[in-house]
Amino acid sequence: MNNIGIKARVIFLGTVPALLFAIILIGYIISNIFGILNQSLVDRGKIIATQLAPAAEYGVISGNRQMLQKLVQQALDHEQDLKTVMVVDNQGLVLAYSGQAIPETLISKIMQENLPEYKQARGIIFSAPIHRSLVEIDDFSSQEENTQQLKKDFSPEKIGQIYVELSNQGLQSYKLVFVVKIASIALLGLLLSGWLAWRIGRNITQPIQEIARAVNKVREGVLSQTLVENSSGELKTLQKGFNSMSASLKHAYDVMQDKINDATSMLRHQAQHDDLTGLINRREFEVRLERCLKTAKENNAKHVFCFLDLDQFKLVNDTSGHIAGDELLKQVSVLLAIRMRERDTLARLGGDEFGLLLENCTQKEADQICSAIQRIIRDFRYSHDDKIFNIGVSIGMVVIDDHFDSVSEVVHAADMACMAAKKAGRNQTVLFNAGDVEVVEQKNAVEAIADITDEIDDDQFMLYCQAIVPLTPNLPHLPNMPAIPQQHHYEILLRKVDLDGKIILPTTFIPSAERYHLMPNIDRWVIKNAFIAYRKLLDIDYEHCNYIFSINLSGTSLGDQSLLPFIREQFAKYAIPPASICFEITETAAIVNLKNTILLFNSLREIGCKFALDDFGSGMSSFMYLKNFDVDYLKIDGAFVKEIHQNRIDHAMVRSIHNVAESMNIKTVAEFVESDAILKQLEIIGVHYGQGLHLGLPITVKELIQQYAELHPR
Amino acid sequence: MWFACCFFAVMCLFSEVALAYTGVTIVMSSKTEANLAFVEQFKTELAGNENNTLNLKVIELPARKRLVVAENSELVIALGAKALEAASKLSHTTPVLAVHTPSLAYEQILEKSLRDASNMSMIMQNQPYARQINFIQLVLPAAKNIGSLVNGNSQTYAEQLKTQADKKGLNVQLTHLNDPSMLIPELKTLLEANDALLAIPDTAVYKPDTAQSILMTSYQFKKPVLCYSLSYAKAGALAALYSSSRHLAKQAAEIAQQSQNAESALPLPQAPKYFSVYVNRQVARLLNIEVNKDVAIFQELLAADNLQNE
Repeated sequence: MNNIGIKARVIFLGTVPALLFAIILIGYIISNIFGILNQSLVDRGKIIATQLAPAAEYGVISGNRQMLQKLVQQALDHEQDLKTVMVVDNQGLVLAYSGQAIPETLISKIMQENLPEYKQARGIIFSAPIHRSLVEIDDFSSQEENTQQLKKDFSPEKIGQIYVELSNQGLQSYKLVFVVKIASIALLGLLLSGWLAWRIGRNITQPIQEIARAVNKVREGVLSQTLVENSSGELKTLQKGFNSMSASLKHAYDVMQDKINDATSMLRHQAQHDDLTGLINRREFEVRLERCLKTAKENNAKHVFCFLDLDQFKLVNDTSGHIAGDELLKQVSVLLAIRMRERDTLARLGGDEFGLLLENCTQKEADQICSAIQRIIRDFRYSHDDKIFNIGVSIGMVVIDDHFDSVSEVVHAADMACMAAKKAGRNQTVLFNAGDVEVVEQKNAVEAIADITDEIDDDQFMLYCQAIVPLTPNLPHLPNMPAIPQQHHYEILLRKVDLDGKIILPTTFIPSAERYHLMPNIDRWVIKNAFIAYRKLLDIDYEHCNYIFSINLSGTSLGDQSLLPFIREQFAKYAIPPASICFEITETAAIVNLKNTILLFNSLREIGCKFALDDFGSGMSSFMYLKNFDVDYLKIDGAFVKEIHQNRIDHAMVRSIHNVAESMNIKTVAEFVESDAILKQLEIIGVHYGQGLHLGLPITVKELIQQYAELHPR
Repeated sequence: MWFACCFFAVMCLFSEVALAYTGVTIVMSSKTEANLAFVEQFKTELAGNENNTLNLKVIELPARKRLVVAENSELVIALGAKALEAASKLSHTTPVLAVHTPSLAYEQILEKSLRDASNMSMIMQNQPYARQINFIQLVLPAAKNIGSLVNGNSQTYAEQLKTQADKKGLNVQLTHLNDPSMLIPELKTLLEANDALLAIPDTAVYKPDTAQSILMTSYQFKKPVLCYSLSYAKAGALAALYSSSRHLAKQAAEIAQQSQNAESALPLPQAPKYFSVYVNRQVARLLNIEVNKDVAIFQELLAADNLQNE
């Protein structure tokens, strides 16, 4: 019952009680009527018998069988359901009968038991005695003793018996017809009540169904549903409530839809535009580029795509923070956008990279536009926190024609042209030409890292090492460290082995690796394999192994929180003395990741590791940073060293760096010691260590191990 | 013989002494409607006579006690055979008049009481022969043969009637019914041979349990029944010549007054003096018989009676 609808419930309520009532009433009526009918049959039989008995009196007395036969025949003819009428005398002799004769045995039984009625399956036999009647014929009879005595002792003389059999078949038929009629009437009444219940149910459910339909419509999203308020009572309240609710929903939906539209527009805008600068973003730009490529292929149109990469942006970002970098990007975006033609598309492709799509533009016009852009950027002075930066822009230009098959090819070409421009000295424009040397080199550099994945194969790289040679005979001891025998200090160098087995220098693939965020994995590979090498040295001769390996860490690795656990794990795994390992970090990388660098330094220093600040002086070097970094070595950038014997400024710079370092008990290492003249100048200044081709060519780590093994045979 | 002479002498002595009475005691067996009507009419008759000196006392016959009356000074009128039997046991000097008693019963009581006819008399139930014959002829003028079932009770009367009827050209056939079970066959035979059935008071033949059979049989034969009582006529007979209780009371009152100071004995048993006629018109219609008006028949009978008395 719980799952049925309202209409079904109303019909149920309208018919079931009526049905029960009808059943009870019909049962009661049938019971009573049948009782009355049965009794009436009995009464009728009794009456017929008792009435026929006096009528048959004279016939019995006179023995007139014809009279009796006539009597019983008439009775049989005129009385319905009368099956048998039989007259017998007091001796049991049948005087007359009509219809089916009643068996003598049955008559004997009725007579013996003096039964007034005897029921059979198909009828009832009634019997009545025939008495001799008394008729008053004497006016003074009461005076006659005989008469008085006769009256006093009057017991009617039984002279015979009459038997009447009434068939109950007619009654049964009548009962059947009666039951059928009653049942028909009841059924009709039930149908009528069902029909009424259905009508009532419909009256109730119709508005509810309308409401339900309207609710379904609303559920399907059709909110403009209004019901005709044609009901009364609770249903009208429901209809009014629904209309009110529908109106509220519609209003709320409209408001919501407006908000969604706004939000969608905003999202669409966000999806197509760069949050920071408001320019078209890379995705949308690529869509437009795709369109242009298509028109170039189909209509032979000429479009130019320029890949812009800001020079010195990293410096701004690193020195003044991201906020300053972001502000720079915004201002540059405004500067560039102002200069754009209406049909040009300027987009920020990511970081400090911009894309410029010049549709239906000749190379000459593009050159002019690029020159104008470079001039604007070059003339632009960005100031932040009292610092003024000069920036430039390197532009890789690609003429979009049918040589390109995809947008990625176009972007890749422009990227390579842009990198070639950067390599060419920044603030340059390089037009992509597939045959250009710069482009090819750049292409090779990118291709060199194409096979590097998260899991680096051992044969993809090779470790080299270059000696860091003490330049002064008596090096000062490090504080808190005992004097130790002369150690062999090597910087671990990385070389890429391409598929042809050719060695690729890191300057070729490191920028690309950094760009594609491969450096953390490469750094880990270097650490792991350097440790393995050192383990081999230890395994060859632990006692005499006084080597120090300097391992370079890239700036991106410094931001990797899992690096420190990895290094600890490697120390534990290969049981390397921590004092044998020195980590080199470029000055710029250290400054950019100042906080992480300090944490890393502190943590590794606790276990005894050494640190060197690499390329000191190449960036925005500030001696103040040295306070923050507790380093052991300061490696002076080669740019100051390689012309020290010719350039007094470089000489002064090296000297000042060395003096400061020495005052902080930091040992200095000069890179790029490529001649004896340089070596002499360094010795004059007192630089502690030197490193360069003049002091020792890089050798493979494998060779180093081999040499050590030869020196320390077991 | 000697004894008989002495008895007669004594009886004559007593009878002379006893006949004078000053009152009348009516003894009735029970308070039936007929008896009460008789008493009422009797009183009326006495009251209607300016010279009446008779005192009237009415008693109901006690169940077992002996009847107590002022013997020798009263006339006892016994209503019914039972009352008559009780009264018959009174002193022989007390005159007793029997009413509502069949002749045969009267004869038997009289004989049993050893009374003589001088101080015990009766008013008979049977109508006079002439009146009866006149009645038959007035009701059924075309009837020539009349049948009647008789028994010992009525045989004497019936035979006298037959004799008288023959004189008037009316044939009366008498059939003796000795076996009650032969009623219907005898009746059928009788009816087949006659034009009507005459019922004569006879408790052995005409009684309540035979009445219907007689009436039905006669009807079956389309023959009318002439009877002696109003009840019989109303039960289905064609016509009745009868004397009611009031008729008999009037006649008894006349006897009482006439015999009060008479030196002679009570009159001999006499037939009813007063009578009535009743014709059942329904039966007449069913039998398709045209019968003269009751009053006319009565008048003619009365005229015939008067003519005969003259």
